[in-house]
Amino acid sequence: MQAIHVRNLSKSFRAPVRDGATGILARLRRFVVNPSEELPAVRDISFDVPAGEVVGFLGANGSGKSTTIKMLTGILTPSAGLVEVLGYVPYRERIAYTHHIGLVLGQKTLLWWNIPVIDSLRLYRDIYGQSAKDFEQRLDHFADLLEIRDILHMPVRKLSLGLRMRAEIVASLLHRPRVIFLDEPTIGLDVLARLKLKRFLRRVNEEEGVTIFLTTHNMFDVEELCRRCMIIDKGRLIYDGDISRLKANEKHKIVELEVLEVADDRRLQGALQRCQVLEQTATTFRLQVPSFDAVDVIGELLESCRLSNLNVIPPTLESIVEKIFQERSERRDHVAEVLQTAV
Amino acid sequence: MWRKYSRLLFRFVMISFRDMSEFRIDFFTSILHSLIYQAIFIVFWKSVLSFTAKDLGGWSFPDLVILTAFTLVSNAVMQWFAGLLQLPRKVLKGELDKYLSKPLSPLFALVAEDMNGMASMQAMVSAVLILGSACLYFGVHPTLGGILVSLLLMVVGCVVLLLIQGWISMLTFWWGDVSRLSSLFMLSGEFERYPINLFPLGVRRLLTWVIPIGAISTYPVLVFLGRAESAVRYLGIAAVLALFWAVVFRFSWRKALARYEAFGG
Repeated sequence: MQAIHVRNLSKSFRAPVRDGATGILARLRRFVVNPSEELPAVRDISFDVPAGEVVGFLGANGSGKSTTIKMLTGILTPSAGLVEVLGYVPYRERIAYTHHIGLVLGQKTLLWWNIPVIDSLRLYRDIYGQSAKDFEQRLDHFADLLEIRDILHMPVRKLSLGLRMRAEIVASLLHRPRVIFLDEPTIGLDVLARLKLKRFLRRVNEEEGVTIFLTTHNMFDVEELCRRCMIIDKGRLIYDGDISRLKANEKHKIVELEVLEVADDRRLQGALQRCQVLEQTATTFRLQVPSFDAVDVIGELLESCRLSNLNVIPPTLESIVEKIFQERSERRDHVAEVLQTAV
Repeated sequence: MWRKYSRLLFRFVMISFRDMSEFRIDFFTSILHSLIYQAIFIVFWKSVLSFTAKDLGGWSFPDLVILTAFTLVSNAVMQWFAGLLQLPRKVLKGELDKYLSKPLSPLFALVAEDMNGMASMQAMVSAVLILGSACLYFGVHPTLGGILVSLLLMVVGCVVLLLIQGWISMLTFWWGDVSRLSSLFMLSGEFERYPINLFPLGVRRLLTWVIPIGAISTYPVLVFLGRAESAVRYLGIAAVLALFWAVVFRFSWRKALARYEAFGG
């Protein structure tokens, strides 16, 4: 059964036209006329998420992650396309639909700022029409798991980011949602806080079968929590599949070496020409080596130098995604250059 | 549904009081501010009348003291809807996300979250004290019917002004920051402190038919004092305006939510 079903979903926002004109008349005209244009934030994306899955939604700043999650939660009305979550069209059936979902926005608090956490949670209990018994039981359970019992009577504004985020996650789960949307929940958290959150989310997914839709900058979060990820760039979905498949497609390995002494410089230079030097100091190299040639290149390096350290690093999701974005950015620059030349 | 919203309203009211109690010093300063502000107006009317005749356009000193007290009553009503004034800021900062992701009316949540229970109570207590003292001291004896109709008229007038204010705030969804426009409209509230029959006919009509400031001060006071020519007429005008603005507000709100851009994050 599909929890989320999205087809050809698009969203544009109106923004002032930036024509680059700087003269006083041009500014005056902009002030009077205020011309605007539609800027696409999400373009024609389609995907499905089965119930119970944990899926990572990756992208750089401004790539359309948050816009997508806000369309999925009914906050934003799409410009075009179809979105269905648990059989509901979120923006049309918002009140019935939101009973079944939870939302955490890492950069905004959804709790009431000036009142104690427990009051916000009780308010949510009334909003969702949850029974007092169920509320108390679940709060008891989650308060222990996420260690927030001591902060329940503190106003939200007095909490550290990590504690606030834990409280937000508890608030999003108390009413037994079937899908939770987490928009960068680990942003600004230290390693320990991130670890606790991830353990908790994994447990909730396993025990309650909650579908988790996670957007983040942090690839490690996705690697640890999800088997599947989607990558969005400039509003377009550029990858949707298993993380392992994404990694298997990676045709390079990263090799780091620390050189004590060069025995055969000609041979070393020959080896270096077969790879891409990512970083270099007087004695250290960070190289990107084609996987098919990795064994030979490493052999050459070992024979041409005396090394104090050698690391062969398998591709991480972070490096792969970084590379994808870099390649796409270079391709866009190239197309822009060609168009400019043609004009 | 009514049960759910009544329970939520109760909880929000409790929160509004608790929220204020977090800032106790601010609370007491606000009471002082309110009392001094009203005293200044009462002294002002006394001074003006000492330079002119016994009354000002038919308004004697006791009438003007009662008018001053009535501005506090309308203020007490408005404080419960202070959330509407927060709409531009919340739209621009994307703070409606909190309401739109929950199974409740975003408009209800917007208003309920920023209800100023304490401020309303301060205004109401001050109003009752001034009104009670004025009635006893100056020998004003309003009828129960007069009190009830004047209060009803004032509440309907407040509803109209709130709907207009809310509608102007709603323009943020299309035009961006409209706080200046909103402030401009709020300036018209200054007329509340003066009997509107003191103004030229054009201004009087504006304050009766377009921005019905008269419905929250002058006319309720006239009804309270038993001097209204036709209380039902005033009530009718205010009710028609309330209905008109309710329809405009509801239609615009639906359109506005579809325009929401959820900035931030």
